[in-house]
Amino acid sequence: MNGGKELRLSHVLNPVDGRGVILEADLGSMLGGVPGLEDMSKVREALGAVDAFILSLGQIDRLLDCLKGKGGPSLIVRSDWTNAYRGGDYILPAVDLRYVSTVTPEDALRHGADAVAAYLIVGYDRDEDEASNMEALASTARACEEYGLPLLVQVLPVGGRVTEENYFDCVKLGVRQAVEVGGDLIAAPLKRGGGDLFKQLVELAKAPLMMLEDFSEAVEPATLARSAVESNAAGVILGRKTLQAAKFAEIVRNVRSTIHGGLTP
Amino acid sequence: MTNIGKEIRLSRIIDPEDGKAVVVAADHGFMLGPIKGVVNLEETLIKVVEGKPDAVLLSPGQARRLNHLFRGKKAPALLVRADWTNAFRDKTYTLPARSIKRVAVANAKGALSLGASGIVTYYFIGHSEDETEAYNFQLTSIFSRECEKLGLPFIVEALPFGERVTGANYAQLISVAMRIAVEAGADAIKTAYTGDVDSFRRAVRSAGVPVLVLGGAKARTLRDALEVVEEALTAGGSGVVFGRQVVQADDPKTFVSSVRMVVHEGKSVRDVISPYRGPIRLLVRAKNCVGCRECQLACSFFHEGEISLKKSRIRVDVELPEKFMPFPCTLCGKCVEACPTQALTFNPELKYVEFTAERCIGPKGCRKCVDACPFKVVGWNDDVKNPFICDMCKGNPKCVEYCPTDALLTAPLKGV
Repeated sequence: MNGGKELRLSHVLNPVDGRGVILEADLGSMLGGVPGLEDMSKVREALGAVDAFILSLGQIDRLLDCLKGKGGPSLIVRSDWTNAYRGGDYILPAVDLRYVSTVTPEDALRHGADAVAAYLIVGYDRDEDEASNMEALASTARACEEYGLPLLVQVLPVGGRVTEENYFDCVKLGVRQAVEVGGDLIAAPLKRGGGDLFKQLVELAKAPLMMLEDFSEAVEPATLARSAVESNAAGVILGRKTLQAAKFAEIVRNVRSTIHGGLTP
Repeated sequence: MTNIGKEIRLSRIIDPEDGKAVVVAADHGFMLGPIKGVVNLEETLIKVVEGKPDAVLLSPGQARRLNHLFRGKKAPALLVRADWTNAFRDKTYTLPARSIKRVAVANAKGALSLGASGIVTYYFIGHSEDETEAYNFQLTSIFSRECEKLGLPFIVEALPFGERVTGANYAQLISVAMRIAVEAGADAIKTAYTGDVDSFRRAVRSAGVPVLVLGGAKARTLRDALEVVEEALTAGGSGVVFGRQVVQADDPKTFVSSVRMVVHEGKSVRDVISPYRGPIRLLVRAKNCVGCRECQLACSFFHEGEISLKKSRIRVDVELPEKFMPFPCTLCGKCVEACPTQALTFNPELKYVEFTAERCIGPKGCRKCVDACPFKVVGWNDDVKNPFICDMCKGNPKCVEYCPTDALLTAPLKGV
């Protein structure tokens, strides 16, 4: 990893324990203003508890004051878009799984990013979609390398070919591909009761692997955080479930305490 | 500033809480080789970083090598020197510069890949050849465009340098250089102090961007350096950049944290140098004394309103050419013991010798205190027939404050 990447990654993962708490606050770009995401100012309640925000380019300006200074959350800029989160209960469920790259690492840098986030969707029905996702990711990874910008790859096993039976293998495939394409920080979801399997993933990854909150799973954020610590994961990425929880701020603070103990951001 | 990336990264250099910064420049080896303090740069920088500067300026090579010192949110921001010059190789240097040259050595992309939060380049004004300044401006503009594109703060070290710089035009040239650099795209300026508050304040206003003031290589002591900081802040500076004074200091950590106290905590120089508020005694470092007698003059001025060696409560023995020894009050109490009327007593709180004129024997006085002083620092004021008694300036000795070489120090008085 080059010096710039190492230095910026140390703003996301605390170098003392190698862990981080990230809030995925860019979901509005894919889901619109669903409950919990209507008012972006809500994410301010997580200040002091999260190490980084994932934001879409358009929201950075609104939260700029929180991002300034050394102690504030680091900025991870979302570099792509997908309709993968639009399940059957969504107003316009995804008919065809789609993924596009939207923001270059140069754009992200110009907006003050400490890292770039991108998805790797596993299990596409069409091979050309998987190839296209990989091509976009590789292009982002090359530019990130050039600029010393860490690349966070979030593995989403949501394609039509993912089944209950092959789920873990799909995640394993995605994590390895994410490392091979140039991801500096990888995140994968935890399936219910999958703590031991996740531990295996962490050992296989050979790169910092975070636990990704999965909206479709009944795993509570507190359980996710405990599992992350037990499986030696590099922390957690909190998303829609946490954002929509009634006690959002309290949950994030508790997750921080589990992940970092008394460490301040 | 409308570039969000620049705004966020600049906020890691200049603290948004107070708009101030303490920056340490440690890129000397790039221009001058292994001068004192940068021979083992890593060793020095570990101490510097403990003092918590907001940012540290390094050459590209050292930025790569010492990257580990800048990890984590609490670490200083890394600034990368993006140009090189031989301008500082004066006649005392092994290979003095025959003509001033300056070239680019890194670009914004390269600096970002090293993890930089900004780049720093020079802008010199005062060359005898106009094409040199034109090249300077062209280079500055190229850096500026690159930084704009990638959201990287661009700090320009704008300095009068060259054959056309004189004492008379120096302050004005600082202002000119700053303004030109801003017009070329600088987000912040690093420059020398003009020498007075008014001209510097005008220059800062004209620049319109944060201005970081060079701490001044001439500051011989920590107190000198802090006084420059205090004045620069009063004149509108957004902080300071210290180089050799820090890396060559005996204790770089204390140096940086002391500067932080003045810049970020708004403490006075006195509060930083002598934070103790109880009984004190005076210490002498005779090897530092240069026989300037500033201590005596400060003493007489602050007590008697006169610049007079005879009216001082401290004495300096001078044995030319270079043997000097200050004699301050040692609080030995001989004068107190000798006084027959209790006109001299120890102050109950701060333990200095307190003089009560009403109790002193008049009109000629007995002068027993003068005779009793083993160090001959109790003098006699013939005008009012009273002794000159050191009162430790009630805890803030002016002799210590004005000593330019730290030959006089204060220490807590113990065992009283």
